[in-house]
Amino acid sequence: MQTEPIISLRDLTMEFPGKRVLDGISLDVYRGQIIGYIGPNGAGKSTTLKILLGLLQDYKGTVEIFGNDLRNEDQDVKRRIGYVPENAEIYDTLTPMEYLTFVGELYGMKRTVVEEKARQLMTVLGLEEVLHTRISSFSKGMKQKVLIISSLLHDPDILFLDEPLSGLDANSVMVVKDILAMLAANGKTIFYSSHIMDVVEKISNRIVLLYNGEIAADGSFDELKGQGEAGSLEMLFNQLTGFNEHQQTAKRFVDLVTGGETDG
Amino acid sequence: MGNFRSLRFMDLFKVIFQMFGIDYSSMRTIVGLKLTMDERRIPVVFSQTKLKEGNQFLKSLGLYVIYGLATIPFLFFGDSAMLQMGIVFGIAMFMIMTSLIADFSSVLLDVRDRILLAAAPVDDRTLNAAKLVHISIYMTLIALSLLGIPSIVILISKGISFFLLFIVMMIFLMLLIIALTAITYMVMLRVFDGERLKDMINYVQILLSVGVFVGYQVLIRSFDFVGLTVSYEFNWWHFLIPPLWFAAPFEWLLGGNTSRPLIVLSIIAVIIPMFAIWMYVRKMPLFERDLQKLMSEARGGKQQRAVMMRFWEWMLCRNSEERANFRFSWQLMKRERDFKLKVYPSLGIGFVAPFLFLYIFLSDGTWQDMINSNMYFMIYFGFVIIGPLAVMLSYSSKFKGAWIYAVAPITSVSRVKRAALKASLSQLFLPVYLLQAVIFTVLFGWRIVPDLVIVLFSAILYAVICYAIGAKGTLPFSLPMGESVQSGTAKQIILMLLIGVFVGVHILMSKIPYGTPIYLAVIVVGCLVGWRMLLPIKHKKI
Repeated sequence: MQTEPIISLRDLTMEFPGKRVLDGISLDVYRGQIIGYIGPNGAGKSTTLKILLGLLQDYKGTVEIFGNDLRNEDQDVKRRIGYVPENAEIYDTLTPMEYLTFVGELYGMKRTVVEEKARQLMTVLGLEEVLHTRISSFSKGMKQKVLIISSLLHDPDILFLDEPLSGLDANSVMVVKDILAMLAANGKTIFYSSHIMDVVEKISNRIVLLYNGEIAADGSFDELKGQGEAGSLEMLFNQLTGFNEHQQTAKRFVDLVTGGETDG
Repeated sequence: MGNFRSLRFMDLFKVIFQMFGIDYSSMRTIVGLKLTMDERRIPVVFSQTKLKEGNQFLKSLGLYVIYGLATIPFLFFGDSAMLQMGIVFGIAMFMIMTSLIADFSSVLLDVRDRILLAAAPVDDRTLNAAKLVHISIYMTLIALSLLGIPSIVILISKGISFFLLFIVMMIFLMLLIIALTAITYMVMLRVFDGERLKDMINYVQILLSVGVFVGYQVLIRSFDFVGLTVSYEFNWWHFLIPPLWFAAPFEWLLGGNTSRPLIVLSIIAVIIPMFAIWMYVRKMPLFERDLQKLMSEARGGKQQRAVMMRFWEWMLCRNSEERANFRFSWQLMKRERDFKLKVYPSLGIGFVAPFLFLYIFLSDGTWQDMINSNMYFMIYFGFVIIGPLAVMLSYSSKFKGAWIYAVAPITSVSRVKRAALKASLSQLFLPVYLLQAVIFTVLFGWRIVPDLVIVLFSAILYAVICYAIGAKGTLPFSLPMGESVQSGTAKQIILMLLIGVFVGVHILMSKIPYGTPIYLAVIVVGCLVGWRMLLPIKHKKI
């Protein structure tokens, strides 16, 4: 099983007018892996996800999912993918029930089946009271839970998550972390991007660091630690992205706030 | 910023504000900031037209000037000051109040104030004063544009004392309007949750748009009444009509009519606004607290039965993908306020217009003439609903949610579009059309039924043409709402002219022997072909 990559990127390059966002990325992802895809803002994390999902098309290089070239537009491939977008973008005038039923049906599920599954999943995440309340009145964390449910309704084999934990409270973060770990143990592949280093550190079994459109590091946390003297992913991140001025930056900022010199 | 003429005018009253314990300089800063933000907002009266630079509100004042002109004939209506001023104040009250609700709900109901400003060292009194000043500035501007020219006409034709009384009554009317609007909101906030309240405001905005159209048509007709002599007679229910309170002093002080009810009405005109504004100031903190509701997370809510949706879904959709999208589109159109704001006014106009034109015909001809005529072609005016509807279908204020279309395994894009178009027609156009058709059948008799069927199929064909021109290949609800205003007027004009083509061909065919059944067959086939050609079901990529 471990030999065939589920996702395979070869020399993936993406250019927006005046800017090269991805610069020849090659990556193989295998079944059951939880990939933590990290990098500074604007490194190209979301762009990679969008290409993998078929949201962006004019890329160079090849992308294969389940051995199918993405350019073939195979709907069966899409049926096996789930996605949680960043910033909780959703048609929020609908109620969770309405939205989830719609999404489930788009993935070819029967209406009665989706309705029942949606109800149960919402109940498990403590949202049964708001099944028929408009999503627009939800907090960010509640929206995020609805989106996580919507991405998993059809039991996908690959899950793409863009900042999946943003807005969730500490308890919900633990629940979602465990959900992801169990899904991976069940043979699902999870690919997710995040800024929050300590979460990535704890739940990913493979970390890919993107910097300036290239892969700067790739491996498990322990392997990456072996490469440098960094003690945490955060420090490793700073080291690999060449950012070691955080203290100076902070000092300058505080000096301006207080209008004087502080002890750095 | 901070250099607005209205602010400099306000500076004159600095001492008065300070007397009330208001921190004048922070209030001035807050109001200045709000005025700056307002420059970037579009008022409802303009929502149908293009985005332009600058303070849209100030430009929309031009429209109020025109509506104001329309009040002038009423100044010479009958020979009773009570009726004249009653109508003028009535129009003013309707215009100012609806525009206050439509455009300034966001000011009255601004919760960001609480979050951003309450943390800063600004006391509630100053904050509330800033809010009141902000609204008053705009109210004054609206009132001036609306009644500026009429008040000059009053000064010239009725004399200085009439004019001065007019100004005083206007101020009381405005106090009443501010307080009344705010109190209405207070009550609504108590009773409804935030979402429902926003829906209510949305309906008022729609009412304003339709009211302006219908009011305009009626006002043009009203010039006919100018010569009439009607004198005023008191009825007890006049106590319930605020514009008459404000008209009463004219009859009493200037008309010399000293009957007791008039004096009571006049006193009410002064006392109620003062009382209302006093209530408003007193209850303001309570109001602010209820405002928090707008931010709160609602709970509960029931699944809607949606009988109509189920019925049409069952009637019109055969495929499960189409059904899912039909429901989705239906629900979205029912909820999206921006969509309603753009589409519902044309819905009202489309419904009213055919009858309005029949009415105009009746003012020249007899009832019998009309029934035997081919005036039933007026039902084509209902088509003005379809253009905006089909064009707006591509827009959503939550367009970013459209990623779902790209991510989900959709087998046919056309099916998604068909579902949306079907949902929009069955939710919004068909009810209006069916009601019109029934009324027209009652008016004109069974003979027009074949023609009405032709109109129905023409509408379905017209809709798909509008959609093909308007949507240009984009998926439903996938473009930002703000862009919709930029989509050309030229396009709208072409779509309008197309209605003319449908009417023209239909009228021509109805003159030919057997023309109607032949045309009926042609239009049914055309309808099928049109849908197949413009929204073909084939499996292809998005």
